[in-house]
Amino acid sequence: MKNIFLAFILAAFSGAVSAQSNQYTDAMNKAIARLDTVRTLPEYQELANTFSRIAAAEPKEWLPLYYTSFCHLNAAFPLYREEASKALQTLDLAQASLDKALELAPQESELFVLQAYILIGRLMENPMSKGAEITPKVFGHLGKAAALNPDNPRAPFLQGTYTLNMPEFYGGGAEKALPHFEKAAALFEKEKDRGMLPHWGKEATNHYLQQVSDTKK
Amino acid sequence: MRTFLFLLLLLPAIFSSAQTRLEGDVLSTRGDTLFGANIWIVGSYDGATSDLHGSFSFETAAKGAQTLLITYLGCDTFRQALSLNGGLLALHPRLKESASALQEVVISAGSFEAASDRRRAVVLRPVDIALTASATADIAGAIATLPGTTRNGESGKILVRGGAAYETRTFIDGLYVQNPYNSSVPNVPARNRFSPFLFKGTQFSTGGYSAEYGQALSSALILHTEDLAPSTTTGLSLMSVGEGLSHTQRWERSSLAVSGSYTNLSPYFLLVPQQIDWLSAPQSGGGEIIFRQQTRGDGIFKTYVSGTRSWMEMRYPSFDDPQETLPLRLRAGNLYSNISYRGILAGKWALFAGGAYTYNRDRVASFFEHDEKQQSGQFRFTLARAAGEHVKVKFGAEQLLGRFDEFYRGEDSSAYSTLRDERYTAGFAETDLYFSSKFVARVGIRGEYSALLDRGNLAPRVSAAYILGKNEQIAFAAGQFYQTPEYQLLRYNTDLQFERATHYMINYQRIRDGFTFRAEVYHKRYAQLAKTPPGGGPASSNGRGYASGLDLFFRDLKTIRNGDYWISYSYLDTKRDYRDFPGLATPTFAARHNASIVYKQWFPGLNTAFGATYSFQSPRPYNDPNRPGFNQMRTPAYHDLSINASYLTNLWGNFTILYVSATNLPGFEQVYGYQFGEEAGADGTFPSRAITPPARHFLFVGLFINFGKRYRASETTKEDL
Repeated sequence: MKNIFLAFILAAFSGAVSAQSNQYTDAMNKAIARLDTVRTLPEYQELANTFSRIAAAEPKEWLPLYYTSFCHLNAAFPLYREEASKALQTLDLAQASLDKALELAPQESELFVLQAYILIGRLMENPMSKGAEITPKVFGHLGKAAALNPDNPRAPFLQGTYTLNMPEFYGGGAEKALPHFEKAAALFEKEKDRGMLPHWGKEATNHYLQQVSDTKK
Repeated sequence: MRTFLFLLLLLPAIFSSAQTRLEGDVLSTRGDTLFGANIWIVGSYDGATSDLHGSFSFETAAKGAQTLLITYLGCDTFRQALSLNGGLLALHPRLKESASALQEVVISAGSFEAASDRRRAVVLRPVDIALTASATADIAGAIATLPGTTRNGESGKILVRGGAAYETRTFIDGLYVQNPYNSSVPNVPARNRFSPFLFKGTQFSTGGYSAEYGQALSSALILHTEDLAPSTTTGLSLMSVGEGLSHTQRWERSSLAVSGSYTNLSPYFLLVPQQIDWLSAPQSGGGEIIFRQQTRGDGIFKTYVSGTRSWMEMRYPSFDDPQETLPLRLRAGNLYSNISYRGILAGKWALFAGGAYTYNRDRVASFFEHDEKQQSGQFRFTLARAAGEHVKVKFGAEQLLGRFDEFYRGEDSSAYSTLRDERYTAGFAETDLYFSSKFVARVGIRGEYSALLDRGNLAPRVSAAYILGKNEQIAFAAGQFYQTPEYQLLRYNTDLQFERATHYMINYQRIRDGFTFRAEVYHKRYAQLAKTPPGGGPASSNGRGYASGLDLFFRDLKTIRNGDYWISYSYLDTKRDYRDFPGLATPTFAARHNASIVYKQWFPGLNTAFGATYSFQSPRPYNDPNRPGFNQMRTPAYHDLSINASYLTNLWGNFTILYVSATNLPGFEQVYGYQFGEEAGADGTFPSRAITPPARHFLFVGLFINFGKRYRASETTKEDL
């Protein structure tokens, strides 16, 4: 009887533990599922809040920080239409979450992709005057991301979009961007179910690949 | 056992009944609705985001003593202890604006910033200096397109709000620059000694500036040097006026740049006829070394050394005999060096410590001979920190040792020399007080002592800014400013007062989405200006004067795609009694109206940047000794239209810029004033001569090649020009 009781306590305890981590995965999966559907500024702001609550409760996980940063970043782009200073403040928030994530996972390829992406966000303030400072940094971070994980399709994807939007004179344009998109598309094909890990970029890659191939014809 | 199981089955029910519902609205302490605030229970995932009305509502399974946390961009994090026992809990949290948000209100009175610091109102970017058509990449030339300045073609120097050229002082990283301009002879315009590319930010203050800066009656031009060089590169410049070669090496935490240049205007003067009879066209040779070292813990250590030698020789017509010309030769040497460290001390104090040494010698030979040597060594430090959420303090001290050594031999071989040693010591303290996110005030005091004058002064300064609404604010500044009279006035007599100016100004500013509008009215009173008796002799401190005016500035980065323009206008009413003036009069360098339109356009398809500047200046006074009164005559109005173009290309795989510029394209007649002979001619009138630019146009062509930079070094944008 005593043993049964002890076993029960243990089971209850382990149940509590697994309930804890289930709670984490459940909350994350729910928020990530929502992230895959949202498009508007208030939605991104709300999701950034949701992820940052999870991040605050799980100080050892880099993923909630990653998604907090990612949501702030996505909120920053539409904010430029309202007021550049708000967009820049939001990018500061994105950077702050990313910095914390990098402390937890300093060798995570996805975090360097995100770092490059945040810098692209900063570039939007004034591409003409910021280009000189930011372009080498963007390529530097994307290079590091690819080195840490050659199978990460988001690195060539961002490389492609950046190159596509760069003036031809500086080595940009559709033709130069094409190989990056092709590489990204191939890597996305290989990418299996990622669970909670970042998996954005596939649709956009196919979209740009189509666009770039069309302009080539 | 059954009972136990039964109890277990009940447990979830008990838990669920323990769910607490939290509801309420989030406002700021000022009563503004906060939309998008993050509200949650610490340690749980339970929380919500406030909606458009600041309302929120969520449920939590947490119970007992818990902490509610609310974060919102621009507010301090809000914490509240809660006891959760199920049921409904209504909350009305009020969030206080945080200091970091408060700092968005920036004191704008009297100050134009060309900072890369994006939080500040960027009015003029460093690249703008290079691309302003009338400036030909000269800092002073670009500043002359801003309101508050008066164009001065004959000297090329910056004159601000009725102040003479010496009243504007240049500071590099806070260190006073003894000779900011290249040596030149009268009526041949000088250029600023420093390339605009040395600086990441330019702060141009037309008055009311911080107690940190002294020894400037009218204006402070504050230049902040670049940190680490971005990349390793070698540059070659081939210009219509000379050549330059530079190499920059970048390491992980340090960088070194070495450059040399030689300019010679004689080939250019052969092609473009000049009104000056040059025996030897202006030539100069110089070199520069820039070193940067980043220390551990984000400090940065900087040194800069530059040396220049220049010479020119000309003949100019004599007043006494129009057939006769007089020789004039200038030989000049300058050495400028500085060293500084900026970093964090004890985790809290922002420390700056630096020193500078300057040596300058100008030797002029004509029918007279003048040899002037000026040296200065200085040391300075500042410490700044935040004291609590809403207060920032800054203080510092500096000492300057200067020597002025002059020798003069006249036509009649009479000679005299002056040797003046100065030991100048100053200290300052100031504090920024953020009363709310809308209102900031800066109060400061500066104390100075000059051993040369054997006098001290105390200069209080105050400024404030108040946000009227989104994107617009008003600001106010007032203060006292002291300056030691120029060495030349201390030749016979060092028992002079500090010259003094008192500034008052009110500023309105609106910045939104690429549009900037500023308006500023000011009044400035001068006292204790150095004054010399008629016919020469020891100076006294009886001079006085005033300047009042209105400055307007409008910039539009948005309307024209890939284009940008600004318009500035200054109205100035000024009179002074100083130097050899017989009484209150408007000085020759003051014009009532000054206006500029600066336009830039980037054509991506052509890889070309194009710029045009139109400047207007209303007539300036000059003194005609043939008529009664003083400074009673007026020059014609001044017009100028300058253009430039920069074409970006690759030359043998190396990034190359072809730059051309031309001043006064339509060929306007430009007269800066008139000079009169010392003695009346046979007909009893004083002979006169117009002061005009050395040539109607100044044309410049340059080819700048950056070796080792290819397309992948896509760090080449407009900014590299």
